Amino acid sequence: MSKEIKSILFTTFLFIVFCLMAFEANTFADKAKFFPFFVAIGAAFLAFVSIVLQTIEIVRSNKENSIDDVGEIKKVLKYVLWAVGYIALIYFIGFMLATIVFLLVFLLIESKFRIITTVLSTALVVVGLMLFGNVLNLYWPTGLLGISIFS
Amino acid sequence: MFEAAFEALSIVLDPGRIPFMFLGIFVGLLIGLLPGLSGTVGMAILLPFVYGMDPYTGMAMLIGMAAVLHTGDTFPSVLIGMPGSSGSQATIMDGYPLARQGQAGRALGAAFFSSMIGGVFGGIVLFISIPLARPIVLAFGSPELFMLSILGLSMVGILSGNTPIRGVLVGMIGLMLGSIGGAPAVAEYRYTFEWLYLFNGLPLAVVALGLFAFPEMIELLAKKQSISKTAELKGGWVHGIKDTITHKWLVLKGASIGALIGFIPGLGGSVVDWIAYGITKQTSKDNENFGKGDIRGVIGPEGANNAKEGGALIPTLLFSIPGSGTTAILLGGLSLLGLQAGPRMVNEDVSITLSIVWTLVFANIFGAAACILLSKYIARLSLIPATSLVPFLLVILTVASYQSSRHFGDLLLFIGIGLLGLVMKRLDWPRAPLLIGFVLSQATERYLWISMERFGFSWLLHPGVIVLAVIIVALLAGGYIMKRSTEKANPA
Repeated sequence: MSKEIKSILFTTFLFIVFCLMAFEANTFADKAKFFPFFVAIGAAFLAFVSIVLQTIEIVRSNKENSIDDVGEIKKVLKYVLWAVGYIALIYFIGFMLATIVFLLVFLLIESKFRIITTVLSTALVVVGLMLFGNVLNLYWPTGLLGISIFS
Repeated sequence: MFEAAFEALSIVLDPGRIPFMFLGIFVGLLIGLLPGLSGTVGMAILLPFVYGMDPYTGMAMLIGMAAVLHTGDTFPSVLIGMPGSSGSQATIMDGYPLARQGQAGRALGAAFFSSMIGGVFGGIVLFISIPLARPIVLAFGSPELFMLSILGLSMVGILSGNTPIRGVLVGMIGLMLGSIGGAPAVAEYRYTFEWLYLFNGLPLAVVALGLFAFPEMIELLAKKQSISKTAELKGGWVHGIKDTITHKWLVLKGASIGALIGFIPGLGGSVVDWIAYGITKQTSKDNENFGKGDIRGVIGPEGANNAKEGGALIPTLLFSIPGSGTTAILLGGLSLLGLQAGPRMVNEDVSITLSIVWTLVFANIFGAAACILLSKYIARLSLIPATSLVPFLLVILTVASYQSSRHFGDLLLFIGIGLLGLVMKRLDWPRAPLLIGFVLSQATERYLWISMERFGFSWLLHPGVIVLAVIIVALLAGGYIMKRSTEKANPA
């Protein structure tokens, strides 16, 4: 799928979201309604205009549309999953433990660090976090399972 | 005024505050050094940490970061030919060819010294503007402040590059995201879906981190971006400083352009260095060597991009108009520190404004000196492959996000906005307008509501409102013309 088609799909998604937001805004009290309602209506209109203009441009254009590199998209999705997985891990086991697990696994698998380098890097991060946490009074998410280490 | 300036100097030089300024300088240099990370990311990283700080210390840290960002970003521009941030694109034109010729030290020396002079010049411009801006600011009521918000919002078109409709659309996403939470005019919560986390609205720091940092990290990983070849740093930074002194008027010209364009909200950032480069080239004799390694092509834009920060702070601090993503987050930082940009910054809080001027001056001097001294070692950092750098960055960003409201929703929002930013980045949609819309959303609604309640529609005929409306139109037209002329000067 070309970038241009994806852009139209994204604009259509925005159009739907803006319409829903305008519909929701209509349920607010008058003084709370006017700003989000008119902004959402204006944005939905603009999104519609943008969809039409982009479609016309694609139809008129004779040149080949740019195709995204599928391999790169797979890589993007892979690293998005790494990030989402890290956040999910934090939700279940808490920040410190999740960070240790994430760094150990990521540095070994993706960064291709040696085991000793991985362990040392992870330990350094944990020490740094504890140090900064104490100095700057930072807080960590505790996690659903209530496991707490280094806290 | 001078008495207040000296008082502010003693506040800035307080031993308890100096370490935080240096922390800001360190982060600014590091962010500038790492390609792909912008001042917005640096500001967003530091923003959660200002909770609980006194205003002088918090501002010293934030301004320290912003002041030296365009000093640190020279490293990748010169050594690798890759802009460390959007403000150092033009430095590549002559800095990289100089590095290829084995004159990296000379180019870096000239760039850092020009940056320092430019940054100090920007601080002086900000200082001079305080007494001049005071009567203007005091004349502003809610209708004029509403128009100023509109002025800020109107800049999304300029920030959008060649896609103004997309820019405005993205700005509207920001406005809608900003309307989540309590309504300013009435006790009603909007778009919260009974989720407590949303009752106070979305935290600015998380939105900024998700929008800018997350996509950059994923892209760096996906493209396995690392510096392919080591650019050797040869001596010669003293030669570069001598070059800068020789071309002193060129530095001042670049600095003047930077401060002036920085003052125009939304026009600075990625455009200022190109304009400075274009004018430097056009007004220099024997300019056939530009683009092949002419030291003047480094001095002009480097003087401009640091001076821009001082200029950009004038509308940000005195009129609440953020000219870039960085200053948009700075506005949020002011709120976190219990300050409000606007008339108060030249009256009750003038000492804060003056401390910002001093911080700008000191940060530029220390930042440039540090860059010159540490250039040999800092250059090695930019060689770190993405897979070795990003996991640590992700941990730092997760910590930074969670400090906003210390609710797991911060992390969900970080990922959610991050995915939105990633889609926008991959589809070449501008992201800065979203942040401007988000920051100005509450102010726009509040001032519009107050104006309508107090004056009905008659506020539209206020002289200040009409003048600002004319300025908005003139700036949009002027920005368009300047961009066109820049594009003509730099067709590549």
